[in-house]
Amino acid sequence: MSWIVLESVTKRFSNVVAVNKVNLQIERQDFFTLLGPSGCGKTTTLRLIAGLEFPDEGKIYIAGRDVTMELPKNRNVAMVFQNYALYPHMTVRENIAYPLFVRKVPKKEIERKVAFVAESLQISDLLERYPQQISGGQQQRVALARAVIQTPNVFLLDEPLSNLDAKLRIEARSFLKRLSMELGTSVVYVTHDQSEAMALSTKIAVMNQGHVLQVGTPRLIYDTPANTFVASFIGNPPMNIVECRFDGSTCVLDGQRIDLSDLPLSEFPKERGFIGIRPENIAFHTKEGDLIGEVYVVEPLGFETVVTVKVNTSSLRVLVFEDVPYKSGDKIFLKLRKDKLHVFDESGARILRRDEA
Amino acid sequence: MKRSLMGRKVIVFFLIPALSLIFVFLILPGVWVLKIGMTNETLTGAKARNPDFVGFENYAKVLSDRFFYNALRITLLFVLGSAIIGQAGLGLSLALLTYRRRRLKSFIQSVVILAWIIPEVVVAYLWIAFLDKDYGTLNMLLSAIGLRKINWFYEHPLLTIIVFNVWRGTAYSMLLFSAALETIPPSYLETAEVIGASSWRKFKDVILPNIRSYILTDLILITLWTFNVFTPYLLTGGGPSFRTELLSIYIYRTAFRYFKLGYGASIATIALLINFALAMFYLSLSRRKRT
Amino acid sequence: MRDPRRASRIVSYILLAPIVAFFVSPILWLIVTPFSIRPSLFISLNGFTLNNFTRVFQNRTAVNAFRNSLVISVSVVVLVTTCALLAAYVLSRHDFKGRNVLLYMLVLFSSVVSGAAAMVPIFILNLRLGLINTELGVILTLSGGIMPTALFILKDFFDSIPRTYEEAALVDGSSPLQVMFRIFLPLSSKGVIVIAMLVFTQSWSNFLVPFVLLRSTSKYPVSVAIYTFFSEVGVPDIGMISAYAFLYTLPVIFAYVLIERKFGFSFYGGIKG
Repeated sequence: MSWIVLESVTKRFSNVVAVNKVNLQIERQDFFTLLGPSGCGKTTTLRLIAGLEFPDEGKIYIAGRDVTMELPKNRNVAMVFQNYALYPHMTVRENIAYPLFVRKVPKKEIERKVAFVAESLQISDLLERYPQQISGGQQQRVALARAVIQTPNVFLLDEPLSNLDAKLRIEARSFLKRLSMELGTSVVYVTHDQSEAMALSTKIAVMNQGHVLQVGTPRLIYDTPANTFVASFIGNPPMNIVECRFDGSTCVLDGQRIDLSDLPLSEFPKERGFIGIRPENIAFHTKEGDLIGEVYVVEPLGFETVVTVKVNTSSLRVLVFEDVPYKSGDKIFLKLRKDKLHVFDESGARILRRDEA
Repeated sequence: MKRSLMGRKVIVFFLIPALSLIFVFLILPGVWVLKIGMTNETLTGAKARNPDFVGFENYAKVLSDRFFYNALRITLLFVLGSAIIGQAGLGLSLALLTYRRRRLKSFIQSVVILAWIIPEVVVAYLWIAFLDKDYGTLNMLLSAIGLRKINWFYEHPLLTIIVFNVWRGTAYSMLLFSAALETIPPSYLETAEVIGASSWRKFKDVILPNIRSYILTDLILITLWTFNVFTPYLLTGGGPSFRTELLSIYIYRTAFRYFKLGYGASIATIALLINFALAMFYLSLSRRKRT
Repeated sequence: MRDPRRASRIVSYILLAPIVAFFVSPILWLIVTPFSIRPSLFISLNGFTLNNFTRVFQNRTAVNAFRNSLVISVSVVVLVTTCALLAAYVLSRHDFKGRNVLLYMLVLFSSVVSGAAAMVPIFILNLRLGLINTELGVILTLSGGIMPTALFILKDFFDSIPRTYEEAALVDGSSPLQVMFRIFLPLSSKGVIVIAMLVFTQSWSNFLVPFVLLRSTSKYPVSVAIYTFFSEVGVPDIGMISAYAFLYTLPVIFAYVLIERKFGFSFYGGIKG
């Protein structure tokens, strides 16, 4: 049995289904991320694991024990909130020590542990200050310290980086990844930021409207998204997804035909469908290609350049890593990397290749 | 300084009606009372027309007035029992018991607020009826379960007006504390919950430190109001034998029943000075909070 | 499935039940007795009748007192709302020297000069002005007492209305007075209604001021009339008094429901007292 198991868990708030028949298996060594847009049910799922909410249906197991209806204090979990929830009337030291103080750990022991945890999180010199006297990044570490000191079964982190400014966030992210490797137990992490999820996780569950759409390693989700939602949610700039009509193995896009007969798909959509291709898998060509379009706008970002190309009524984004000589209005051919091209059926589900089935 | 949309004349014209009313009917009496307190003015008789200036004679009399000390003692017990312990305690308990339970909270609040907004003459009569020795609802219930009927107004007069005033005034404290609890981020309590803190620990370590300033505000304001309350007069008239004679009732009796306006004014001055001290305390507190 | 928080919820209901009973019981009498055929001090409804109300309307003192209360309250509402509106507008939109000191002094005096202690000098003031036993004296005294509170609440409310609306109108070429009447007043109507309601309830419910300042029974407002009804010697007419008290309370409840709908009680904050 996995370390944490959610078995068709459903949670309703009045008549809104926040979490809908969710199944998850989280292993002890996982850095497991719940990823999705706001309101998708990811935070509710986390709170269900914490015991701050109780499911209407389904079961939750932590460390082999059924905790579905247990209060949080009986679950041995530690949680870091988005706003850190550091107590403003307690010093950093008192904040970190509070979980042990509540559990009536002897004073000597508390002192030793606080010193150790503060050392490893590099906040030893802040211990006598109050939370409002330290920076956001430092507050975040204090909140982590208060979780780490508990030696829990699982760490639950609810968007802990979202209150930091962009530069600090990258730094904190690396720090968090290092730290998670030393924790020795699973981390369940909630975020709406796909790059954070990709950078940190060993596994990602993409959620939308209360459902888990796909679970897998970051690589798997990036390379083989289960449907158009996952495909467009992961990656920046996101995958180009274009609606088209299928004529056997030929995709007809606004009158232009792309031959996809080389793709080893189990089947092709009957009539309506979508093709999806990531911006880095499209190349420019001056004389020939799969599609012809017109440059709409060129956005140089330093290292890479994003070019948006209009193909009749659709637009495709292309990511290139060199300077491009094109300007708005230029006619241009696009070559698509067929091995990286995905086909989705009318409902948006990705059509598997024959070797995947 | 922002430029104004109005001319100076308009400003003065707009301010004058409100300020003159406040000046004549609030500030002037508040200051004038000092002077009247130093006269022997009475409502009727020779001293009604031409009162003499008697200096601090009245105050000397007040300080050796047995009734004044009685009123002061009763007022202190009344404020302590009905405001500080009763209203604040019950208000805080209700706020805690209904925390984050919206429908329960709005139900309880409507009931408690109802007791607060019904005109004071009506509530006085409601309580006279409720506590009536022979036919009052409370005594009927007591005798129904086999207990003795109690003549509340004679056997426990002070307790009666204290309980009455708790009933009357808890709404403000409950509303203030409910609002105070709303200012605590839910994650503070949830963190404590996940850690495994008991309800008592959550209250002592998380809630109390975060609503401390609200508690102080509440205590000062309800003390100020309770100190000036006159409604118990409608229930007991200050009796029996002065056992519920609050300072406010004593002032009323002196000035308007015994017609000793000058002497009443000197007691009123003392009461106003106590009000002043409480108000200054409150204002300095709320100023500090703002900065 | 059983929610593990259910136990603590049940405990809270057990604690709350007697408190609710404590608050409801005296009020229940006011709802039941006016409609009772044999009204008593005990809460009991033995048959429904409107007879008690008929007796209220047959009582000349009672009817007269209603008229008096209405005159006093409406006058105070008009006086206070108008004056406070003008002053609060200036205090909110014009930052003159000493404004904060002025506001500070007003808060101070309004909380200090209150209750029975204030009645002695206020009585003498009315005596000197020849306003004892006149409705005008009661109206002006009540207005002076309520004005500061009304002023603060309105000023706070006005402060929350962005200046940009007025500035936009000025840029478009409106005159300052046009701005006040065409732009500002419509924007602030909600606050003005709430203030009017609050002032109404305060003056309608007030007992002490008319009790001290008025002498003749024919001038009594309802508050003092009810007091004389139940404190006079002899057997009081419980049915009539309860029906009268019921009618007297209704407008207050109505006003508060309106305030609650408009603002919620959080707004009501420090006004009472």
